Amino acid sequence: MVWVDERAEPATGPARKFDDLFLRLYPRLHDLCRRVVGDGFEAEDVVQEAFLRLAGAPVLDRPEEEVGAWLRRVCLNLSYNRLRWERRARARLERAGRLEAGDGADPGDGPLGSVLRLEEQAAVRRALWALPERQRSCLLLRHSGYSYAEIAETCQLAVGSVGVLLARAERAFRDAYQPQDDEGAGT
Amino acid sequence: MRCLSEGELRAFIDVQGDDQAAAEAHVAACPACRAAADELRGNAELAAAAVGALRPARLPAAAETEAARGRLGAALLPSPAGRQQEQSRPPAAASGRRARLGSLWRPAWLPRPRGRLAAAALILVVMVGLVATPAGRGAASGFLAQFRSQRFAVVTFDPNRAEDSVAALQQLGTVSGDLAGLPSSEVASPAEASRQVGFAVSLPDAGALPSGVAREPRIHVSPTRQVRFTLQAAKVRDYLRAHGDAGTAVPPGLDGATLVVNVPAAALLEYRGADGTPRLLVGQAREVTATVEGAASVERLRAFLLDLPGLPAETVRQLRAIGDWRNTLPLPVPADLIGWRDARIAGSDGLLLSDRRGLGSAAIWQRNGRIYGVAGPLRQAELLRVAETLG
Repeated sequence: MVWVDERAEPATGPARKFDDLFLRLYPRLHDLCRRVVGDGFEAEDVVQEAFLRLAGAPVLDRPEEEVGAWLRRVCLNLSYNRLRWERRARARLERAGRLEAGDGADPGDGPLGSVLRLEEQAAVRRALWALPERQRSCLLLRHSGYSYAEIAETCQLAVGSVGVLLARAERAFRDAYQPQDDEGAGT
Repeated sequence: MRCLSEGELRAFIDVQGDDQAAAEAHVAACPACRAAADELRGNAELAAAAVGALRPARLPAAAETEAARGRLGAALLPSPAGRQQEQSRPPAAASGRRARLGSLWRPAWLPRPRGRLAAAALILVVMVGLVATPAGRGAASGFLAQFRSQRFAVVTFDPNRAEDSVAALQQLGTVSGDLAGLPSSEVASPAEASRQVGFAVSLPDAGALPSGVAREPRIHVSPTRQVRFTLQAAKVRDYLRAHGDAGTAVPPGLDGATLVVNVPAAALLEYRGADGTPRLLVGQAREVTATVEGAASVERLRAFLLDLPGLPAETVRQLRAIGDWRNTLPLPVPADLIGWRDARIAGSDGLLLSDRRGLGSAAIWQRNGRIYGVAGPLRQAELLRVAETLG
């Protein structure tokens, strides 16, 4: 009831900057969160929550690269928290896989292809969840197309340290992911 | 060139190294580094393919991004802009705006240092919302009935999931009103407090006060507040779909039904010890009431909300178990931190609560249309002595 009259106010100054940032950064942040939580609605919720925090944060006055890194960090943390809060994180992850059926699966896959794709997604998320948080973030960011500089700023480490963290993350991911593959092949 | 570290090799593979040419020359000439690079490349390709499988079919389009910005709410402005606009507004409007921005958005679903308290306060409202929907009279007026808090029932919740529940409510409709804890102001005298809250504030007998506390309390009052929750069928459909239930339809009439919870004005007496810390708190308020506006059958609204997927099962079970739900105020209690039992307090049915770590106790009861609560780092017997002299 009190929101309506606020809508009429034209955005100026910092408000305008906030809007611009939202429109520019939302799509890729949504993409990143979606990979973690597995659901478009939930991903939107996470990104919106991150922007709500941004509204009151001093970082809003910083250059856009810093704001972007800050938002990515908050988005990843919020996404992880959502999964962590579930008592049965594993069941949740599998459900996240199924939820993709609505808008995540490639319609060209056909029904069988969709099922296989969703199972694969669930297996990937389980393996990611086995990684320490920083490694998980590093791996997700890199293979979502972010540069070493962007990863360094997001994960708050030196650019020169991204390579070694990524190498460890990928090895740990391989170890966590491949046993699941073997199980799948045996059943 | 020396052999490359694992991190340098990994950066080299991604063409993100400091000196790509030198690294390339070295790897070409060094079998050990080449073997290490091959292993890293294999791991990277596996991870790239796997994370690639999580990629959505496409990024949100511009129109979808605009829509998401709209849903975020135009009320949300960054604080510098908020401050600038406040300065150009009349003081009353400015303070109103600050209160709205602060209380509507932040505590509602953003963890903050005191987020757990704020979340607990909001859960109270949520729980009232879930039970406070009696059917009945006055359909023509749009008022379907009234809820009155005449007794209490404990409903446990997991504090770690509190913010989850709050977010869930936002997913079902719009919530407006003051959702923050208890905005309060200090007043000079019991008479002034009585005037502001609209009933005679009762003071405990001096002889019943625990030893070592100041005889004169500091008095705070918080104003009446109203919280409105409007169910939106479109949001509910999205919510159901997100919980894997696309088949359930939103019953006709529930779309737009608005639950109005009236949080009463309250007075809080604070008795301090010699060291200046609060030792005894005495709270008093009128009843919490709730009404439903709209065409929906309120019983159906309650049943529908309790049936939704994604709510904590144990909390829902406890809410369902409340027989006289029209008159019972569920008190959300974090089960791992607080113990409780039903008790007769000052001649009325009430609840005694105690912190499991031994930090303190609280009692809450209702009599003659007033809710009373006493709390402090005290034994239950000490609290009950105070309670007997109130009202």
